[in-house]
Amino acid sequence: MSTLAKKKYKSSSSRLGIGDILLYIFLIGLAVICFLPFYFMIINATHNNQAIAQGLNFLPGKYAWANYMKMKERVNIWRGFVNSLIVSGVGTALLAYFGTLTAYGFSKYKFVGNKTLFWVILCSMMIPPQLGVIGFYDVVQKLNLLNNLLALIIPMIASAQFVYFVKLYLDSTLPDSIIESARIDGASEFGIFNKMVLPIASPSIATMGMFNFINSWNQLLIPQIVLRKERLHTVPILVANAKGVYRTDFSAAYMAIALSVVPILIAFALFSKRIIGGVTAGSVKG
Amino acid sequence: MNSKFLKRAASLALSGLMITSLMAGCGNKTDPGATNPPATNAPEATTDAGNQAKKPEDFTGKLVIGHFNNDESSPLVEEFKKKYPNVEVDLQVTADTNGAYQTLITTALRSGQDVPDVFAAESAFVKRFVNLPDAYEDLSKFMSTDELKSKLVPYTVEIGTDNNGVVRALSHQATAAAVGYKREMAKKYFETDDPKEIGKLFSSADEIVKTGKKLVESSGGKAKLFPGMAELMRMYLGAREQGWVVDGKLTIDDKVKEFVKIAKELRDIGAEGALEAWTPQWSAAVEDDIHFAYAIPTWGIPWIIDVNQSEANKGTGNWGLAEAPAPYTWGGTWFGIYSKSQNKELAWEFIKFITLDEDQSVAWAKKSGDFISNRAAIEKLSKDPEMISKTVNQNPYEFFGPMITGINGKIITEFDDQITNAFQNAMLSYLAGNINEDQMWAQFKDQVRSDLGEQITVE
Amino acid sequence: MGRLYSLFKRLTRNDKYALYGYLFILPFFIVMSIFIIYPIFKTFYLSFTDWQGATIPPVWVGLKNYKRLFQDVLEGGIFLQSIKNTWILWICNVIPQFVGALALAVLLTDRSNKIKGKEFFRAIYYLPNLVTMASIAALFSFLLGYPNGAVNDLLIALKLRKEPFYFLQNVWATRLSVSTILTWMWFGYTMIIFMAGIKSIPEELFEAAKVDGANKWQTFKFVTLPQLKSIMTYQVVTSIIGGLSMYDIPQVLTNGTGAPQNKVTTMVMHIYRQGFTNYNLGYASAVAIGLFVHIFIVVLIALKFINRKEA
Repeated sequence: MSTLAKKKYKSSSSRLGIGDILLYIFLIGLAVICFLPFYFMIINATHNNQAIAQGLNFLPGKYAWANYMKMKERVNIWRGFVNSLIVSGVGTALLAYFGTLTAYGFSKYKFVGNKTLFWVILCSMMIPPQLGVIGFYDVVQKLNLLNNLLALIIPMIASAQFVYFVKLYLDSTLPDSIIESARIDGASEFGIFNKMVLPIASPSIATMGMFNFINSWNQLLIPQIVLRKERLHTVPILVANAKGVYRTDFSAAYMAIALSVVPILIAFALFSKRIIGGVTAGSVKG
Repeated sequence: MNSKFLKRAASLALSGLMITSLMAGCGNKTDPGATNPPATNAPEATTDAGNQAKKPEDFTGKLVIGHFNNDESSPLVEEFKKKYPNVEVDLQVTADTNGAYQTLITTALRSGQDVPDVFAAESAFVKRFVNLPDAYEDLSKFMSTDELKSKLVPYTVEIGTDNNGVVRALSHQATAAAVGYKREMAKKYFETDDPKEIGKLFSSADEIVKTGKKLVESSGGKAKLFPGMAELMRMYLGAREQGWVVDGKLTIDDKVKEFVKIAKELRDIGAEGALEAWTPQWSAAVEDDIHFAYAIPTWGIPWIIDVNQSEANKGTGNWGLAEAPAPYTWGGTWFGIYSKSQNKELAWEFIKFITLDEDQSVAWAKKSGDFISNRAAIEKLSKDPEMISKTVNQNPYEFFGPMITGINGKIITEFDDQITNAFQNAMLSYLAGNINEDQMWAQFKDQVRSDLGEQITVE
Repeated sequence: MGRLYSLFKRLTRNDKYALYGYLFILPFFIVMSIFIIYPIFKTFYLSFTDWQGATIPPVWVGLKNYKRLFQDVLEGGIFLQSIKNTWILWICNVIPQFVGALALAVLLTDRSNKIKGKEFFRAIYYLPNLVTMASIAALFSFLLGYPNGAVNDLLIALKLRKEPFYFLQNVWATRLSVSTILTWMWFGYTMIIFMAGIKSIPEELFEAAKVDGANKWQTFKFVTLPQLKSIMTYQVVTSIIGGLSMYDIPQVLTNGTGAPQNKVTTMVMHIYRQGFTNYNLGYASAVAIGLFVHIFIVVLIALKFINRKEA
């Protein structure tokens, strides 16, 4: 595979060589593999339980509306969307601002403990979320944030991954000279951050922000423990509940799954242009 | 410059602190102690002048109920609200996916805050909550144990009893179980679909193996006795004399050893389909003409058979119920009152309503298809022709009624879930032929030791 | 007040902007202390206790849980097995994932080839990362079902096998399934990160290489790779951490059992099982601390290795 990628071919000719064709076949094949499971999930959402259990269905069935009604009886997926949107949206926005602020702080400011504190952040990345669940619940309860979406939003600010990545990006794309000259011009530190740093860092913010959005959207364990009122449940919780306790209602579950993927697809479609396209524009060196 | 900065920083920090505390204040807090102002309707005159008995309409307040299954709990709460119109009920449902419901209740109990007044527990974990200090209230404060056992199916009360003999949880269901079989296949391979005859085919280990062999041979290898290993396992576990843990030690009842033998034999001759319960394939096998018998509890009629049948076959009586080698129980939901609840009287009304109220039990049975635990109701319904289930063409109350008092509730322990799971995992590998029997026992014991070694001894 | 002042001066080394540094990182650290550091300390504390997580308070038992942990590792218990499993699952996933992602990243950022639809490919390869674990597991246990799952049906129809294959009872079949699912889920993400890195390499370096007559492979080896070092470090570190704390996929695929024969139980699954299924919270906390130390050491070694190459 790697040799195929690095094979030298005539870039000046407009003819499609064998290499090109093979390459396309490979790329398209990979794309199909990526898409196939989604396709099946959506197809299954339109069939009833019998059809699903009996084998692989390639064509859509006629039970879409019936499944939707069954699912709706169990879970209010639209309210789940709103909840998830609030949590992931507000959380990601807060993270985008404060996370970048933190990354900028580490990147361009010299203060005692800069390196050490950054290492602390790195170490916090090494902790799987399951480890701190008990302590997390403790804290949330002491702060009276149980059954409050804030319990999910505020912790999102402390994403070590985000800070690491954005700092890396800033290190290589934000020259000290720009900051110096801005200071000479009389700009305040916050002004510099808001007007200069944020725009420059935006491709990395968009990249990590999107990943973070999606990751927080798919969270199940922590929201389940913290949110007990049904009207606050986020989408993954609803999907888990859609199966019904006797776990035989697969069609309703697939419908819930199919619906839950849609917003993420939309978010992705919106952000994806910004990400890599923007990175080229942001490369300022020397 | 510095002092100006310090001032800036201080004001920033202060405002930050204020904002955080403001937001924290916005958090919703369920207040179990909140009571609505008393209802203004004058209490109806009671017929018993000396008795201060309250009518359902007299009860006011707010009850918080925790449950893990919306399908089951919602309708129950609806019925309760109809009879107690002045009570506000807050039903909080959290599915037990990955133990989420259990974690929720456990953490709430630990902190002592936000515990529902009434919370449910499934058979898999009811024993644990019943034995947890400060979890469930002692119900003998409301009704004596003996009275409870005479009014409700005894083993359900036994399961809700802690290790010191105190009753703490009750169930509105009696989830006895038997063998569910497909009548068409019975007629085809055994020339009869009569429940008593079919019951004979399952009456002992030898009979079961014989039946399996016959089925495989006469169908040319196509038909199978059971869809999976779990069916027979449930039947055998129910037939045990001793539970998994006796006097703090892991105990392997003879029935378990017998099961291991037959399970292997059945798998080897191809009489067991290797399907895992609750998978789509297992559910689909309900409809086919390959897998003959399932372990069917009382709730299995609606939730295992009905739900997986095609529209054409629903309610046509093409299934039947036969007796298993011994009566056994599977599943069920228990309810108890939080020991520190502010609403115990109200909570007891709810539990009383769903278990001890005969009219409610009868109505509930007819409405939901649940098999209730109220003995008077069972008696009544077993004679009611309306209760003949269309799915199995038999009256479940008539069928299960007699055997239900014989179920031994004492063999259930709080460790059952983990131990049975460890056993099942080891068995699956053994039956698949990947390990031999000695390795199977070793793996089983190792797993139990790792899981529960601090609480029980494993040899 | 005066002493505080001189302390400030010392901390900031007369760099008047240093204070802003502290200020900027403050919100992050506040949130982190409350929601991440405190829970960790709680876990650390619990590892020295016996606790069932409920109404009976924790009982101090000193090093008992750690002794049990060491015994398990020395005697080849389930935790040792889970360490092996986690490493196997991770290696089988990370190697194809990185190689594939790097190759694709180079391919799709190469300005000189004529591949159309790069944007489309980039987007669609990321798609698998959007899906929830529950859905994937549902799908795969359905595909790999025995005796009549979709894959088995296909194998028999294509006459590749006469009898169905019991995937989920076969140790390596299950392991490779987990690794494959993980690779499928993450290669798009990794690819995008690499692409971001490649795109930030200045044009001039590529021009210079071209002028020097380097071919594609040489360009890759001497220009692209070295410039990607920091991104690669980021990816390796996050991959190690994610890999060693692997939980969702094997958990849902084996229904929490780590079947067959505990050969697919990962370390976090073990912790979860001990803590939330068996309520041995003291021991689970000790295992958790053990895992943390494990990850820490591995990351340190990896970083040393990557940075040493720059001798």
